[in-house]
Amino acid sequence: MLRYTLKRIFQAAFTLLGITLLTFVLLELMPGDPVSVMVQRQDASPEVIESLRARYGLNRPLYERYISYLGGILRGDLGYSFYWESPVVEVIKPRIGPTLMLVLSSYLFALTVSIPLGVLAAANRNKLPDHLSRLISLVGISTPEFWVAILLVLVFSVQFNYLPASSLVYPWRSPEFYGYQSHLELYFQTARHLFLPLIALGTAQMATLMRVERSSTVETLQEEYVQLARVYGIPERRILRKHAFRPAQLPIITLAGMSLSGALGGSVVIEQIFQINGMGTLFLSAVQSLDYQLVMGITVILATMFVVGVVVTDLAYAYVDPRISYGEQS
Amino acid sequence: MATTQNLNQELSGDSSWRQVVRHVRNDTTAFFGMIVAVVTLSIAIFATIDANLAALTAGNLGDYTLANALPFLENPVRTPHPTELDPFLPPAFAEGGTWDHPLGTDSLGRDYFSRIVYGSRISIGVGIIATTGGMISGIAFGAVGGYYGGYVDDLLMRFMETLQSIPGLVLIIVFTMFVSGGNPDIRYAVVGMAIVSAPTFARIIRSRVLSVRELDYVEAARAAGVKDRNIIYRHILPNSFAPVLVYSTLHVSGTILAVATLSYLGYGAQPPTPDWGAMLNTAQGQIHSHPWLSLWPGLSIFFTITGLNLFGDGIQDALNPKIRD
Repeated sequence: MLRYTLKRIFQAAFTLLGITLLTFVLLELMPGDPVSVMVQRQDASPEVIESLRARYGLNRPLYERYISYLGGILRGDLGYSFYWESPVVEVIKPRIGPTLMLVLSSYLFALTVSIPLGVLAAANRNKLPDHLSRLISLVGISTPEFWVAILLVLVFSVQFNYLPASSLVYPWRSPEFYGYQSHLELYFQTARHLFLPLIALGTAQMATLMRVERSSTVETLQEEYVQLARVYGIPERRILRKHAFRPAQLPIITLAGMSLSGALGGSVVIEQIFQINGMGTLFLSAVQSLDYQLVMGITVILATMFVVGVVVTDLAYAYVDPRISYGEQS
Repeated sequence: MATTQNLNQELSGDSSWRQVVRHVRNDTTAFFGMIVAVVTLSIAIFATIDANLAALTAGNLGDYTLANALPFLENPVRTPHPTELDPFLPPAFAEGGTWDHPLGTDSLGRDYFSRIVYGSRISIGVGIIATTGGMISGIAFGAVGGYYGGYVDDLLMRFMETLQSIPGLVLIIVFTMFVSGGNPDIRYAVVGMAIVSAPTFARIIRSRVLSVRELDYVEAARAAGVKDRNIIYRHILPNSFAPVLVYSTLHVSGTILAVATLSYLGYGAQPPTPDWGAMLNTAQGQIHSHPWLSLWPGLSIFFTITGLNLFGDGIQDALNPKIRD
């Protein structure tokens, strides 16, 4: 297990190294270096430009600059945002919370809906619940996230005027900040504001997870040990609960890690629609203002989140299913 | 029973494609999907290629109606041009709508139905082109990596992993920003989408190549002194291709979805191009006053994707025993 853990972490570190290399190359390719951007409006003599370039290390060879770029990232320095006129890390930091809140809550929604429905469908194969769940997952997979969001706004905000269609309420702030009476009201308002975005973001995940949950449970129910349990006369419900349920969850773990990429990408769209001040809206505005360093900073952070998520789920998988790490050792 | 069936098919000399067709026809949902896919595809192909396309996309288009979009539909009724004061017309079944503009008109008085029809052309075209691009580059990387193995393979696969660890949407937007320098366009979105799709194709073909390259006939070719390039082209690729093709049918729908999202965000097709995603972007600003406009492009995307997904699933089911061997 330890060996497997170390191996996965090493692989992840390698991937992250690749990402920094990619962002570094892209930054190098960008039209004009930071100094030329800085002196754009002022009449700077060539000597001044040269000394500025030397000061920022822009005249050093490429590999040296990459190493110092990498060192900067490891120290938590992702560059300088020219648009916000402050370090990239400082700009990103307050935006991480909202994005994580949105992504994680949409995961929670996707899992709590998809697992019971998937199991129900598998237990009633080719009967009404199965057809129904297939229909739901088909609709979920085929509908673009942003259109789900638009429809939700249309129904719940425009038509019924009940749920708010923009911005979030953050539970970690004090109730007074929003003018609420108590923490209870704060949490209630958080849920109310989060509801539409999380459904919009979670629907696609839910649909995919439900499909996998169904097929995985169907497969498990055909395993030999399950058939043996049936021969022993153990009731079907008990088989499902005691013997089939847990092994059937294994593919879900992996899928949950892999689909983090889609969820993070989707949060860009959902945040934009619901005007949530997360990393997604920051990313889009940075692209709009051609703030290259900020864009690259966000890219690195998002990729890191994904890689960490995948490693965590892989390790969880190996923990639940020891065959994985044993297989690696032999 | 399945074995006898297979045996029978083998005896009667059924080609695998005929099996696929038969399977799809017997599978109701897959058949439905095929119908939807074929209808969308023919709409995309047969919508009139018209000198008025420029007018359709940009200008005031009150008299550009159903009949112009789909020439095989006769529609002799002409209604007065929507006035400049209120260009919006509701859909035909709502109060005040006419069958001349079945889905109503948008903020510039353009016939929404025509735009939806032309949107299918863009979506389908983009889906096919981007998928093909991703497939070709993925096959190149995967086949080379899988055939040579060793550090070439390691390096290529790590590169693919790196690409995959950045959310696809983010990667495409970053690519568009760097390449276009702030002037996004549907072409950049298509190329970006191809780049993002490449790793998955590379993985699929690589795993196939890894097993095919060990086969006797490949070794025989190598022993006969055939060049590596020819071995890959002539012997390995044709025998590794089936799973890639199956995946690509499913991938087209994902591509359409992704590019619609990009257009919606403003990083794909630009208005006035009649793209479904871009239309939704425009329509969202009018969601309170004219909610219909947000409905049609979304429904079009939904039906297209549903059809393609069902069809792709059907093909995958039909070919599955072949993939597993």
